[in-house]
Amino acid sequence: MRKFAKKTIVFFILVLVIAKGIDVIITHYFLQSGYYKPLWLNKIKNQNLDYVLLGNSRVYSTIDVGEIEKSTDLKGLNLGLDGSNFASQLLMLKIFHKNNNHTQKVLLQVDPTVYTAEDNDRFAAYNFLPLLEKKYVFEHYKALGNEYYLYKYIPLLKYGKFNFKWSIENLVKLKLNRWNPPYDQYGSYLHDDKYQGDSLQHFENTNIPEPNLYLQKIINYCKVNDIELILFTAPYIDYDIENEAVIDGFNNTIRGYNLPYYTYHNLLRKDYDLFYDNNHININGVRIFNKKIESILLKENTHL
Amino acid sequence: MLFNSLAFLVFLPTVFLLYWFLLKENKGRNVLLLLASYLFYGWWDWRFLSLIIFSSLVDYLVGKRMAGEDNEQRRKRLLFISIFVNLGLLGFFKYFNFFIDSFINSFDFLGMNLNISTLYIILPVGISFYTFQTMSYTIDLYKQEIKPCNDPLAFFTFVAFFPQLVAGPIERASHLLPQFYKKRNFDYTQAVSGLRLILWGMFKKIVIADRLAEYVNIIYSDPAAHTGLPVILGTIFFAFQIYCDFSGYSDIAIGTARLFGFDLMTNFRTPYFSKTIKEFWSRWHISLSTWFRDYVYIPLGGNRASTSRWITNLMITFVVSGFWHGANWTFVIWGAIHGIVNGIEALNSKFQLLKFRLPTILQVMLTFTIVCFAWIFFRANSFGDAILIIQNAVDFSNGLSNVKIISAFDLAILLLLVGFLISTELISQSDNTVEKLLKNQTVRYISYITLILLIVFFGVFQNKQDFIYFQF
Repeated sequence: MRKFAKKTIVFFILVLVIAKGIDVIITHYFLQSGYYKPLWLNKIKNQNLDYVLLGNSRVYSTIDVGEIEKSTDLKGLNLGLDGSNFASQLLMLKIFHKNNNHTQKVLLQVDPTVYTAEDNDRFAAYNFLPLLEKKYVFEHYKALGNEYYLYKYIPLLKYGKFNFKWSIENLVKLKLNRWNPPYDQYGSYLHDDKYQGDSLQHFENTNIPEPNLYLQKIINYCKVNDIELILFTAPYIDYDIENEAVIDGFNNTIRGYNLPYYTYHNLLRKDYDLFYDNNHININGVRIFNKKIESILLKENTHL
Repeated sequence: MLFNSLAFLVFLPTVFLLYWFLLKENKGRNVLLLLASYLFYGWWDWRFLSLIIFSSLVDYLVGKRMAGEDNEQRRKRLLFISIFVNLGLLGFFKYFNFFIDSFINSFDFLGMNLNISTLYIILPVGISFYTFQTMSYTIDLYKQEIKPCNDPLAFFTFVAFFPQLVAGPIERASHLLPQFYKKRNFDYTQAVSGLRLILWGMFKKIVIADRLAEYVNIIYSDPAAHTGLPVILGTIFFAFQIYCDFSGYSDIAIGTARLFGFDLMTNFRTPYFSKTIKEFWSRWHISLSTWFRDYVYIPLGGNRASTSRWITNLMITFVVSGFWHGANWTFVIWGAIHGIVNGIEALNSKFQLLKFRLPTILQVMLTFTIVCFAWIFFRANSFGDAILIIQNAVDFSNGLSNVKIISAFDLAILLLLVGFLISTELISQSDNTVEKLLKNQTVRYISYITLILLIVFFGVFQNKQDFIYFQF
């Protein structure tokens, strides 16, 4: 029994050491590559910007920052992260700041879906995993769930658990330079497909709680760092009465935060050619919506 | 509790340490194993623990009564009670809705509309396995092939023994029960071989079976959308998926039992290298096929009867075996296909119908093709889907344009994994090269660590699949 216990412990330690070594190499490699948006953002340093856009895919794929720069000369970045909630969006803002970047304004996209999302981000958290080594990232996550302790301290666990995202295939693609980032140099990605379906926007949670903890944290963070925070809602294709009531209730809740708020939920309603799906506009929709964002940035009266 | 879960990773070392370090007496160890087994099962749904306890109690008491009974009629009655209770539980939980639905459909076919409601019944995990295991005890006792168990603790632990509780191997009382009576001493070689089997089983399940499942599910969830090569590939992949899933489970079960000083029966011996369907069944799910041989086929008369009766016995055994797998006609057809081919092989061996012998490689390929054909019915969601898959498998009108239903990299990985499995089994079957290689500590450690890393990087941890045989 003693021999078995001794050999098992030695083997276990050996596995841990090897796993740790591989973990360090993979983490280093992914961090260098800018794979996934938080890692791309982590490589941007010492920028002085006029604005950054914060939100989920309804920012990431609905605003063309490059075009805004061409027409207004305002410099910005699109920090929109697919599937993210306010907690992950706050972390994006922190990464931006920790790298000695500055912005005058943050435009945050808010809608009932993101407002009612769980704090522990099930959809976008994996994007940040290689950054768990950073103290402030780990501090952020440990408040959200105990599993992040395991991801930080058990080597390779995070890459194993999410190996469908942090896969060997991705590493090989990076190594062979056969990986194209799904965003341009400003962080935007535009869909050129047209909407094929006929469904309406439907909100899973019709109950809008108040207040939202992480929205409040974003507000506080901006206040502390002297950043002007502006809220807006991106267009939806269409919705029935029940879901329209959800939006109306949501708008009232957001106005309760006493921040500049622009809602464009009705801007392109039923303009099917301008949508990619029921809550994302396509490149044609972006051309129109961009003008509204430019107006906000130039402080014109845009309230609809 | 699933073998491939974090909970089991904590559960197994804890029970192991308590078992060997804290408890020295057999009785205490059996108590721990029983409690651990009930916890293992109750982790899924504690309410169904009562079924295992009830089934164990009935068979223990029946065994006790049978032991002191000389009257053949009374012994038969006691056996009937055991079979009635066990098959009654199985019938209710597994087949009740199937019979009601079939009854309604039959009348529907005759133009009569019956309005009978089915019940929402949850199938208790492992019920098909533990009822067969405990039933074998009373049947063997009736046949006076074993002695009655006088130790209720040992008997209850034998029925609920967690490594093989939910998906076998289905152990015979004559083999497993005595192991609970005798003193168990820690055996280094046995424990190491157990850990090795667990690792190999995990690799087969988490990496090969669950990865293949992703491809197979695409094909079988929408059979109308796929034709030609992807359908054939999907079916071949399913053959390896179910093999790795089930033999992986058996490996983990056998390995886990070895850690506690128990020896469970071998359940798989490279079945896809079989030259006939008869041979396939001597190498696939051995604990079940021998169960059906001993408790269904032989009591029916086996091959010691007229040719027609012999073939009928084979058919009955395989159809019942198919029905054991699931309350669906697709499983019955799967069993019937194996029964028919077995019958043809039996006739051929008796009357020498074929005057020539195929080369071994062709025999193996032919057997594998038949097995795959039968798997279509096993895997398809309905009889209609199975027919559609067969039709689409031979439809090559789209050429090779639709082969790529997953990325080329993922497809290459799947093919490599299947190739790796076949080579490993081929090598391990032909000689003891693998054993010789593993005698070298460096090679051994490199192999273990490589397997662990392959599990980490290629295992399926999101949307992981349950073990297929849990549903039976």
